[in-house]
Amino acid sequence: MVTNRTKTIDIAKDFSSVPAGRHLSDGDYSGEFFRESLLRPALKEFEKVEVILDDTAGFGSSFLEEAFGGLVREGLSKDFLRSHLVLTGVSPAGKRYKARIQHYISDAEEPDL
Amino acid sequence: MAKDAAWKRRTASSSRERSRIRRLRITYRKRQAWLVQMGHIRIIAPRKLHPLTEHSNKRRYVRTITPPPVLDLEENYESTISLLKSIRFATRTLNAKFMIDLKALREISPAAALLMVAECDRWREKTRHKWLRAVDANEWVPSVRRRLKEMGFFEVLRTRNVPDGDIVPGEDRYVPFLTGSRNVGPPAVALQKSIEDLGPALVDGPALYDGLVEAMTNVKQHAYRAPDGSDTQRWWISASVNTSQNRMTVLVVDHGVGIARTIARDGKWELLRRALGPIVLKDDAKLLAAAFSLDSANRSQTREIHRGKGLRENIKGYVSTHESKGHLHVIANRGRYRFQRDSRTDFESEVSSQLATEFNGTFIEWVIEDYGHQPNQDN
Repeated sequence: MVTNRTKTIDIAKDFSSVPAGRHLSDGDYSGEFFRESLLRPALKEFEKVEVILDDTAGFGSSFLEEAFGGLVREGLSKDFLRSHLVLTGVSPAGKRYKARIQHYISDAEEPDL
Repeated sequence: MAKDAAWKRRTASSSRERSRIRRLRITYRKRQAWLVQMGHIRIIAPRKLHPLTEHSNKRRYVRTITPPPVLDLEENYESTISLLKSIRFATRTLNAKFMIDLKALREISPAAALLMVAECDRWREKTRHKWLRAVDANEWVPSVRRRLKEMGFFEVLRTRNVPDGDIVPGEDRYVPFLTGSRNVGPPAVALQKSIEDLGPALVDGPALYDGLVEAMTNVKQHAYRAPDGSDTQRWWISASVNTSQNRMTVLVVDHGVGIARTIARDGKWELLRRALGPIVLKDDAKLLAAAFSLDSANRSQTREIHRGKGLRENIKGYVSTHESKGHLHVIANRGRYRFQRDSRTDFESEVSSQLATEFNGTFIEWVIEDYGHQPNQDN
């Protein structure tokens, strides 16, 4: 769904209900593929990006860390992500993943300039 | 001139002689290695009468591996691993001309059954032109046959018409194994479905999915490093459920180099050396325990701080967040690690121990009590 300034990415519908793995070599729906094909382009184009974390079979840490922590390593600042990325998790698992992603973003090392 | 020709002849002759001696040495060494191998084969697989020729005029003898009566990684670890190593050794040296007498087997645990299946499946993959056979499956202990059949052992052997054993109420039911190397999401979901087909729906399905996909992704990322490329990046997963006790066992196994050996490559070596000391680094049990308990402050000192979270957050996390009683059991190299937790009594324990016999690969087992929604919980 796209509004003037916001894009919503429902991972289960727009990407895969079975996301897993860190790198492209791990499988077809890896964290790296999600970041590069959907998340980073959306963050460049829209003012806010909402990511819905419910209704997938789950997420391994590798997927979440690479998809979201990887944004910081790829040069997006933590402050930028705090103001432009909205995480939505309503189910118990969704809430757990939301907390993990926030932790991965704050834990990720920013690249040396 | 004549002197030069004679010198050339002598040089050529001594060069030929040196080559001949080198060849002889190589042949001698190969022969010695073969004799050592055959000596070992005589011990692990003595010749026994082939069951199909027992009542015929042409009796045939075949090298036969006899398993111990109980295959179990908890109660009978050494004998179980020794059998698996014997099978691998025999497949390599005897080129399929041997038998495993499974009539001798009285009891097999879910973990041991998956290891047997994985060993035979791996061998089948490497020698596609040869067939494994179940010669006298009718004479096996029915509960062993049923468990192996449910897990998919006879699919690996390509044996049909194996009788079903009677299901005794209260016994564990096994789910068919799955194997692969990539795209770990769909098999994790398929395994969950197989578990739910045999009993209640999982209480926390996403947490099991997380643990499974991380265990399988680790195989791809870390487990295989054979320099000659002889290994494949495969994992095998399966499970068993006991609906009367509401207990589930989920298993992941690979034949890689093991978690303890891969820590160095992940950039944790220096950290571990500083935290544990150089002597401890030779102790796989302590390495394994460290891999499952490195906290974020420690990890921040590693070169790749973003890696290695899956072991603690998902694989150990499935037990530590499940609202019931359960344990995680991991075997890798010469280390065994066990984490137990009971959410009702707030009991938690973590134990690691050194093993006398090395396990070639990594084995992960989750045992969860009250794993499913009881009917009254659904209402």
